[in-house]
Amino acid sequence: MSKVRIIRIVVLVAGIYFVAVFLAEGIHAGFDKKWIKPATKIYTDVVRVLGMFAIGVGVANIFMVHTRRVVRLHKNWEYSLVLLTAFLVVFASAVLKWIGPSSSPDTPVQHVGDIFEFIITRIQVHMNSTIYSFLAFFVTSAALRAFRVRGTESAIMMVAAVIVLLSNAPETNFPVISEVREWLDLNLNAAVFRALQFGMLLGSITVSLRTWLGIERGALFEEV
Amino acid sequence: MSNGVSGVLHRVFDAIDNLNYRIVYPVLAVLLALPFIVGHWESRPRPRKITRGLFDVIEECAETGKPVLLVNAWRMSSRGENQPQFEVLVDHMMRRKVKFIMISLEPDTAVVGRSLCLDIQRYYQEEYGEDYIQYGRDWLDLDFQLIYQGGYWHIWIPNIKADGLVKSFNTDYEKRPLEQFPIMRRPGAPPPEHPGEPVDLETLSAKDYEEQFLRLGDFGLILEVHFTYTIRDLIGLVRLDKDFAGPDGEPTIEMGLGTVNMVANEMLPYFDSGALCGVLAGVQGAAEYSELLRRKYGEGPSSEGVRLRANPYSLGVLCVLAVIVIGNISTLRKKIREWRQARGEGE
Repeated sequence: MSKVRIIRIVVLVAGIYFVAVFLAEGIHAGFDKKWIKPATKIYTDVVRVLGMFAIGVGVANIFMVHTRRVVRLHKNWEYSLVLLTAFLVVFASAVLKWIGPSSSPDTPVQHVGDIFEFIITRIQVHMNSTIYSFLAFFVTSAALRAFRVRGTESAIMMVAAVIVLLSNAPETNFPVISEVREWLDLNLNAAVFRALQFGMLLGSITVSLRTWLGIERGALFEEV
Repeated sequence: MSNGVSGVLHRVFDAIDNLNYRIVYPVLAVLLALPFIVGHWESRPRPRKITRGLFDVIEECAETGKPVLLVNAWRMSSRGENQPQFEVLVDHMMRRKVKFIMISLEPDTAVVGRSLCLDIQRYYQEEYGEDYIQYGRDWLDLDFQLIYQGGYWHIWIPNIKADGLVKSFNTDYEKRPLEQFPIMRRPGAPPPEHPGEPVDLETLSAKDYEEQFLRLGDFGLILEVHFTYTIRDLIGLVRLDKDFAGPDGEPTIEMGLGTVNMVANEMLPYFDSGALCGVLAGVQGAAEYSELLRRKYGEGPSSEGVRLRANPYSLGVLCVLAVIVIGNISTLRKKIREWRQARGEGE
């Protein structure tokens, strides 16, 4: 049997499970209890194992690629060394936390001042927040350069944007502004997003059906 | 005189034309830092319907005693917007003694979310005594769940339904068995035969297990605080499942979301249709929620955190607004100049 056929059969069976889950309760409660619930257990266990394998492959891949760069002193090997060191430190601290002693239900909950929590709260939180805060500068710069009224459409957009911005700052969130913004949100904006999402989800259903039934072409369904 | 004023205006407009990031960035940096230098000030935003909806449902949970499933899935990169939302929601639930079970879909947020919950718990314990709010009785942390990362509720909801919450998650963040916590027992379930002793799930019949321990259908609200959302997948699962339907066929579980401002717009159709009871949109949503809390119960442990972020955010928004106006003045001048030149009037 070709690889493509195996993939198609697996996809078809997995898809049948979801249709069965959806319909089982409506068809017969006993069918749901006897067949669907045990199948759910098997299915989710398989997903768990596959998921863990995927993570394992990813981790091994990162490790192999960057170790090779460090060992062979490729260009910018220092960054790879930093990555590997950070990876190992976080991994070791998480494992230490995981295999550490568990407390009884009567133990009062306290902050656990272990290495893992230190890394998260004292390093990662601040690094991540710092990077995201650059967005304020990019947005302001973009607003200065790009947000210009060049015609009727952009003028309408500009008025709406100004109302939304004014209502977003509590200091300028006057009742009239806030009410107009709420009207814009729940009428125009919601309608536009509903239309967009209908389109996207119809497309998504089409692709899903094509994939499920094995009609879809592409890298996954063609012999290499 | 008029020439003098006109000259000054010309120079101002020329400066505006030449405005670039070398000026805008330092001005923005100073504005963002201003509340930290001069101190925070009160802001009283008008709460919108999307914020009030969520507030009212948590109030309902306080009345009915139904627990809340809090899906903690923001990231440190969206901390500025999500953390104040998380704080006001946990503050409200602890203040009103709404039971909640927290599951984290991000490893770093699991740590930070727990720390915030413990801080708020400590505040209320100091205020009203140790017994006011208790871990295990009033709230529970299921810690970071790697397999749930990214949502994929269509896979996990049937699993949680089939296994129940206790067997699906097994332990809390300190690896203590879930069956030992009072919060995991169903409202109205008979007390354990031997209180204080571990319950042996192996010897418990399936019927007793289902009757005694919390099911997904017992929750009054599923509340997600996320840097985008995964709750959209849940909406269909919950609304079409008869296990979650009341006598009138309508779902007994409400769903709410706290997300970054940019993404909140995408979820408005779901609020409009009633599928979501409320959406907290960015810092503004948190500030509105904090205002609702203040109006009804006064200041709380989350108020300062919201102000800390709302003030610089407001100034940032006003700065963006100012540069839009300035940029358009410059464009308008250019257009007038071109129009005059086209008519042969010159400068």
